[in-house]
Amino acid sequence: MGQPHIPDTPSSTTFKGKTIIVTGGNAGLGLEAARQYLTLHASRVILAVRSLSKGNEAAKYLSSHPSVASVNPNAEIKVMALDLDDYKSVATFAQNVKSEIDVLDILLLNGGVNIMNYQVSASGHERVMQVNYLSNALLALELLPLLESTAAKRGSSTRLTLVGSQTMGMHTLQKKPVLEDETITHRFDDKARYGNLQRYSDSKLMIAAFTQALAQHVPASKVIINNLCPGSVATGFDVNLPMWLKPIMWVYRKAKARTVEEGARTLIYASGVAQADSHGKFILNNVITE
Amino acid sequence: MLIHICRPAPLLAQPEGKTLKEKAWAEAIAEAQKVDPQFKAAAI
Repeated sequence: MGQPHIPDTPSSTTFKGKTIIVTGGNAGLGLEAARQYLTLHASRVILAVRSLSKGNEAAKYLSSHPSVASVNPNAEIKVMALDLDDYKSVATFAQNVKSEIDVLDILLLNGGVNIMNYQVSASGHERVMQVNYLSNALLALELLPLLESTAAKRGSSTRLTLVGSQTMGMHTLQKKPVLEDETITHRFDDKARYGNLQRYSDSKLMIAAFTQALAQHVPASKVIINNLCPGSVATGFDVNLPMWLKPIMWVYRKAKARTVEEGARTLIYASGVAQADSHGKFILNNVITE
Repeated sequence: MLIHICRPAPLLAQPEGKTLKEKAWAEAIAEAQKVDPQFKAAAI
């Protein structure tokens, strides 16, 4: 069974005058989302990347891409360092944004990882949970005031979109829940309860949980906060998978995956087309779910 | 694993999900305060 086709972004969509941060913006869905924002006249796109050299290559690619150069040649494409593996890097990035950027219209939290062995992050937590969830939660909280002040300046809502996954349905918390007297980080740091195939799903479940929690504290009139799944997309995301799984995923993605261009349209939809009725919600195939 | 699970996580709609969300919120705030001494939870 294939994935539903993602329609073209409505032609009336524009990001003119907008400043947008894309984490994980130097490759895959993040890079393509950045390109699409630029073709839709975004004034400033900030690529938040682990490797500044890769980020600079991505910025050159974007500025010279015919689809961008022809319609938005004066757009600013900025590269800033962000390593989601390390809370310190997240805090530094947030501080740099707050001191260098006066407005933020869209924060697209796309950066993530899938590895299938237990590793410890620079901040001492299980790595997948750190990169996919903990650091994204911190970054959302750190930049929320800037999103809100921008909304006040604009007189309209700004946007916070977290990239999740429908594979969150395969999480492990039903069988191995967070105990009443333990923290979520303790649960997921515990190697005894780590599942290599499901950790990614666990992290995306936590993204969904955090999205819902954050949306209860922030009104949509200030910041529209949502969470989406881009579907299966043909990117290099499987680079960290074990060798035995790579060919299986390669065949699967060849047969079933959306192109990067189509997959990125789901990010544009969630962060720029969907409205207040998506606040706190999960969006799948450009359809808002409960 | 190769088959898409085409449904949102029902856990979040259950009472356990409410607890999970409350914990996620409280811990995210606590982590932010630990990492960034200037972080103001009241601003949220």
